[in-house]
Amino acid sequence: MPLHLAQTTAERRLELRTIFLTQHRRLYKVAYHLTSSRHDAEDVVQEVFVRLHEKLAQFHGDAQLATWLYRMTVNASLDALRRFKRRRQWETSLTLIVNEEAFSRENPQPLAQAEIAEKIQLALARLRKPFRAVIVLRDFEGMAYDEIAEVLQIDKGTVASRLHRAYSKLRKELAALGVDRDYINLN
Amino acid sequence: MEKIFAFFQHRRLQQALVLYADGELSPNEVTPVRRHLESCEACRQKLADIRACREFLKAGKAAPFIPTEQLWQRIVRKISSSPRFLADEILSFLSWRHWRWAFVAAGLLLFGLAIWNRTNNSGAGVIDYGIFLDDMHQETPAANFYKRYPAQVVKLAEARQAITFPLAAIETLPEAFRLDCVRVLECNGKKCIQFTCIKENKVINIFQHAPGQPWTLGDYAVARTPICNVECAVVNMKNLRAVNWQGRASEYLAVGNLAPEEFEQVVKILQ
Repeated sequence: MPLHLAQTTAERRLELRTIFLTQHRRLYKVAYHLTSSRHDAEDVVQEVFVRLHEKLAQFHGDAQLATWLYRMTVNASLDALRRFKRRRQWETSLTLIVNEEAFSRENPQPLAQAEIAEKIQLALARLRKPFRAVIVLRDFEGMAYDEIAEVLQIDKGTVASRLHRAYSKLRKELAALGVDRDYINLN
Repeated sequence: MEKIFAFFQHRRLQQALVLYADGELSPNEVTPVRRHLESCEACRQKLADIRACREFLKAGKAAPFIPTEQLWQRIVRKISSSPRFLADEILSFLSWRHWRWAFVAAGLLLFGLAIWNRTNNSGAGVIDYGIFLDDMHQETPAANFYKRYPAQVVKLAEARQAITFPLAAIETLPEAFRLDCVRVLECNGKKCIQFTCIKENKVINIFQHAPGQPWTLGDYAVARTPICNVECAVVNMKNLRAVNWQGRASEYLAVGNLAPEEFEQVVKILQ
């Protein structure tokens, strides 16, 4: 009995570690794009895996687990946004995403992509949460409509109409940030 | 009547443009959309906007720095301190029928803990400090930064007592570098010293670890550059530059918005 329990604890930890190593990058990215904050993204991923640790025995398939993880990540990120209401802070403190900024003599203009990323992150932060979620899942995660529908627990048609409206709003926000149509087309 | 019908069809097909752009429509559904696009300038424009938006999103798709080990350690700490985990552990201990095995296990546990503690303090494991730099670069408010990396402001003499390794000759920096503050800082459970210097209103933080506990820079793109004949690892950030030196396994890390020649001065003196 005790040995069995001890094994279960160790095994559960190992299983969690395996899932963490395969999934945390994707989940972190989703949380980061939704919250625009590394600290919140870390908190979100931590919260998701702590919850997963409690529910690990309930999952019987990778697909089911992946959907649950994404759903938890999106919900926890949106909760974090609700709690902290950091819109103003994003606008003032958001800075460039660093690891793309290669400091290299061979590549003297590494900031261009980072600048685009910053603009996108700022524009995303100004969108309403449901719109932000569909764009992050579709364009950053490359999820299919069915998968997004499952994660957000809405139907496929709603995903499409949200995306439609989200792009319209994103275009407006990008324009407000000085990214005009020509600039977008150039890139 | 026809106009009303055309308006509703326009609205319906406009909603389908995203699906059309993504190739999510069946061949039967594609035909009316194509036909409508031929005659509707507004929808053509809308489709072009969606595609441009997509392209822009693709161009700016940058992966943020992801702190793998640090994040995992946070999760483990959180799980280990959760009531459920403790209950499991206590339950397993109490239900043991053979107490002598319990004593053996306790002994092994203590031995294991001692070994773990020793390993942990010897700095054998590589610790990723990318997130540390990340926080500095993000201009994280000081309160948040020191919450994550607990720090205590000390006098220089006290700093010498708090650590077991010889302290950098920080006093030998030129007068222009005013030593503003010394902190004993904790990173991933290991102590290091943080010297905050100010030069012409510019702040430079010099961190020193115990030898053998190098500053690894995580996923940051690092340029290897000789500075005053010393091979240095340089990370160029938006407003900051981080330099560590004495080869790849340096115990020093300097972070600040200083010019390269000012960094050179620091490296030259502290190397």
